[in-house]
Amino acid sequence: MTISGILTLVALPLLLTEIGPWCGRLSELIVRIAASLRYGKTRRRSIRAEEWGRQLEQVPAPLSQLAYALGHLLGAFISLSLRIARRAWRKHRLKRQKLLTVLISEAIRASNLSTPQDEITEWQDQALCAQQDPNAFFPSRGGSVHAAKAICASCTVKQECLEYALRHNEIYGIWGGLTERERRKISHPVS
Amino acid sequence: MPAIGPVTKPDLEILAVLLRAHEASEPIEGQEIKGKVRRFGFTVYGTIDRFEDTQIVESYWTPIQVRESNRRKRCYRLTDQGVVLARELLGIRPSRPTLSHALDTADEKISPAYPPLRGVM
Repeated sequence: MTISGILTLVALPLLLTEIGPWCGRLSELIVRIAASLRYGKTRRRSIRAEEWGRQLEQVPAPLSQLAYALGHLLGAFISLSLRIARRAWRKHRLKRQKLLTVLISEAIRASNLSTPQDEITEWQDQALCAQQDPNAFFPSRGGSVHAAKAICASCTVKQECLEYALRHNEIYGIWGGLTERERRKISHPVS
Repeated sequence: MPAIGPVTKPDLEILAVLLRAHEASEPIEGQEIKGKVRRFGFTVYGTIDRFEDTQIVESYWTPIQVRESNRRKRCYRLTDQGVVLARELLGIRPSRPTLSHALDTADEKISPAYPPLRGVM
């Protein structure tokens, strides 16, 4: 008989019989943890802890006690995760609602802006050409566009001006730094 | 009637068990309910918590019987409105309708959208 054989034959059962009763105390502790996880710090927590402790005592074998206690712990984790999931879902719903209202208001504002009156007032306040001689932007046939283009080059709202002109098909004048011909080339590239 | 949200199958089963215990005038503990309903402790104790919060069920400690164990037992019983609610949800008509029950149902039939008239009367 080897030494390890003797050890396993004698020591292991001894160890198991020693662990047995301690399982009871461990299960009790686990049940108390489960109750505090599930109920937080309320009156119900102590009530449930005692109730489940009594339920444990009615189970005869220590390992089964441990199984019951772990079952309660699992239930506590499930309820915790359900609570977290519910809170996250509520936050997600709130965020979606907020996003939807923002999107809808933006859409309303965008549709309102498509009227020419509002569009002009938006960027026209910053237009440089408004402070200059307007005749420069409507040169006669063969006239010089150099002065108008110079002013457009240093204007801050050149882009908006050009977009407006293209959108509303402004045939005459210099808009956004481009002459009538250049704008026609952009809007009708094929012809 | 207290609001308990959507009624689930475990709710109905537990209400049935509690009603039977109420009619037999026997105290019933959480373990017994769990054994009769055959569901996980998580579900059972969850519904018992909800019933306690909405005052359908009340719980109390029984005195210690040293022979069984060192701990006191937690027993559950239906409150009056709990009994009425259980009977209604399970589709059971009360054998001898009481005056309070008639008043409750009368209010619902006359004016379901308005608060009960009992305060006025």
